[in-house]
Amino acid sequence: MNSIATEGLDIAYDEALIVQALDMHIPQGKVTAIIGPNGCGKSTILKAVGRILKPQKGMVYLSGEDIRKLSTKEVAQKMAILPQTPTAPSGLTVGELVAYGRFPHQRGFGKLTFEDKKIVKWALDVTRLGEFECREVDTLSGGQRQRVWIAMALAQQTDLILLDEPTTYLDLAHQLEVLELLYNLNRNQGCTIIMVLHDLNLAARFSDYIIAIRGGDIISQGTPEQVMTSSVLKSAFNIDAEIVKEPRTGRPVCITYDLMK
Amino acid sequence: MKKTGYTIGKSLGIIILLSTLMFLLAVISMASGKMNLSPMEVLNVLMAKGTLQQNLIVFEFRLPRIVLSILVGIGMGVSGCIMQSLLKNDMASPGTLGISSGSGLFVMLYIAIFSTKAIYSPYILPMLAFAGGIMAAFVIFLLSYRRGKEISPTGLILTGVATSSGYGALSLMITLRLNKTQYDFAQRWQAGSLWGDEWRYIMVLLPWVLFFCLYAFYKSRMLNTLHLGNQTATGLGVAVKREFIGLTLASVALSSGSVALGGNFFFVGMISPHLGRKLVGPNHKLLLPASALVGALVVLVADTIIRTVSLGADIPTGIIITILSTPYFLYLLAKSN
Repeated sequence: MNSIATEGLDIAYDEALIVQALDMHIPQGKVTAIIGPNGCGKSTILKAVGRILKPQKGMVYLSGEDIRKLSTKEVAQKMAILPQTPTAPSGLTVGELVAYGRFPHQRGFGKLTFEDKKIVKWALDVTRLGEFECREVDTLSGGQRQRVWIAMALAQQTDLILLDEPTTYLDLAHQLEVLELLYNLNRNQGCTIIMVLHDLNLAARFSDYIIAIRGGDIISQGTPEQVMTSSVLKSAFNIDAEIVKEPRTGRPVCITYDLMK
Repeated sequence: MKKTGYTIGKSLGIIILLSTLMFLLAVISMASGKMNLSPMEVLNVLMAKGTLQQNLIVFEFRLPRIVLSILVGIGMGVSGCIMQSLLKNDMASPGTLGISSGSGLFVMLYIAIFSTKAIYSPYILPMLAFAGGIMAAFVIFLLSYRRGKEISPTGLILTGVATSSGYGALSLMITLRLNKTQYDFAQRWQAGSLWGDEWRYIMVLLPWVLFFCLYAFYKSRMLNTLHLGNQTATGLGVAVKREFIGLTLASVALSSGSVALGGNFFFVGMISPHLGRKLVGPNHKLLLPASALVGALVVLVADTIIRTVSLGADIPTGIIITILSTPYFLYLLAKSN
């Protein structure tokens, strides 16, 4: 079963075609990572799937439905998308920002119902932000802030969450913290997670399915073991990589690499 | 020390305080002027127990001017607040984006062609100002829009300042060809003279301001999400393009109304939302009323000062506001780097 599928997708910025005739299938209930070199179109694909970018041609299916036939609000009830490094207006509190996640479920003036408040509290608890509810978002650390945005997406109560490089600008520990949070959301709440990641080893460690992109095309996809091979990394990044099985997690890990000579 | 955010209770308190302040100031303003009344006398007049002369002073001379000040301030405050949130830029305002100057240019053109005596219908100037404001907004959009890219906030402001000087220069060219009466009117209008202080103008401005303020307030949820950025807003299910256009029209309409009947109040539109945000935080359900009240207070204070402290000549209200606001503007600039 696919949560997201694309068919013959063409995506362009101005005249330059970034992605051409993309057919992509993303499994439901899994953590999927999209990897690839800079400028390969991975963020572009994520934005097109999340209807932030309008594709030139082709179709995006959300659980089998044509995404263009759904209103943007209906899409937001099924799919949350976090752009890369979003910024919160200064003075906004954690609780307020997370409550904005209830937007697609509200009408008119949008007063929070008892149900809304319960969901916001749940989202804060899951992301361990309960004690920060009244803090201003811009006084938090980078890792905490990223968790706040994830909490907002959670308050949207969607089965599907799209994230564009959720670990950018975070140190090692905070990267793990964010990815573990997403992993647990998948395992415990059954959310389908689709994220663009830069770090190959983290992608291999936390995802069930990896899609490697180069020049707007899928060059390999499958389990981490199937995709994290020296031949795939060679054609994707033009590197000569050495892959071993990591002893602690049993996942493939790239221990050293060089530019191709 | 941990900094905690704004709570709704505290912010509501501030809004009530601002409203009370405005009411008190309005009473003081009604009492002061060339012929002083005591606050008690003013209250008597308001309760229909005043003398004929007192009634005339309050209802025909002072009250219309006070109501106009409040409406102009509200219009500018809310308009600026919408622009700052839509563009995520503290410097955005009808003044800095050249919207007011665009409105002004159309008003000047009309005065030059038909003279001040031709303002027979109170509807003409607001409509013209609205057309001019829309024209200015459209020009800015055309100049700063790049396909597939988000509009850069700095580029937008620079474009606004540039086009604004352009409209200013054109307006000046027009004023130089005017006769004495027209020229006087134009000069005082440019400086913010609150010239439309007659009930027949206010009866046009009041529903206009009320309608668009209520519209913006109803859309405060949209403003909250749009303030997070267009991509995040799309992700939350906001029809970004439609809401952006609707709110832009409302903000241009509000500033045009104020500009047409009050004159060019460059700073009110920028400073009121900024102060409002400091007082109640970024939630638009509270921020819009706060910006409106701050705007109203600023114009009302300035006008009361002008009317009380007779400085020899009849000085336009806008000048006092500019003098009062320049330091704050410089402070903002210094802080933004």
